[in-house]
Amino acid sequence: MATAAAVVFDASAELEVLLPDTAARFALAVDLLEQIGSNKLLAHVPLIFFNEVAAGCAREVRGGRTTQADAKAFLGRLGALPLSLSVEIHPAADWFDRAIKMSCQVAHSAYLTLALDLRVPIATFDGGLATAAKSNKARLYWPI
Amino acid sequence: MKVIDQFIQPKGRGTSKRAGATRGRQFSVQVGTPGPEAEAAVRAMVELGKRQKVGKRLGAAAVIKTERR
Repeated sequence: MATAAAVVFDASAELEVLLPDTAARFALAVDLLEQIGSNKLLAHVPLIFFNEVAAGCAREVRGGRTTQADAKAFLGRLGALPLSLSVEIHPAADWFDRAIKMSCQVAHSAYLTLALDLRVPIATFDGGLATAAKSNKARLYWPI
Repeated sequence: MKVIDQFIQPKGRGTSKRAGATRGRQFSVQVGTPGPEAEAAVRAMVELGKRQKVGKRLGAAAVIKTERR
């Protein structure tokens, strides 16, 4: 695990707490969340973070994996988590160029650019984002 | 909610040769506040998570992968 006082917090890491992949990943995500909640770690998120977390919860409620009540409670609590929300305003052509340059999805490029600009690792369980991070020389908070 | 750097033109973004550099505007907003409320929120989120089934096929990584497809 990388030593860091700040991290870029991916939606997959947040969702791991509500929708655990494995017990080991759940434990990692809980540890990260506790560090963020106790202000030991500053978490940066791009604007799409909240959309992705909400979309993930909605998908899993529709699929019957979790209940609407649990998802609503989870998302409500997320509002109290101290996060530095980075809002970027770019023309669509610039988002496109960036994703092409970085050879990744546009959503990944939002997280990657934040991590590269701030020189902090990315906490993610998304294999696609992890691969893009490695190829763009961004650090990962967890090896996945 | 507190605006940290309102409409700062990021330095070097328009001229940097680094991959990912773009034009545009960026600002940061602090959401949530560190302290007992945040710590209680984390505990509540973790308790919610403990009630869910663990499953790779249906887990967070798979959900995000599908959403980003």
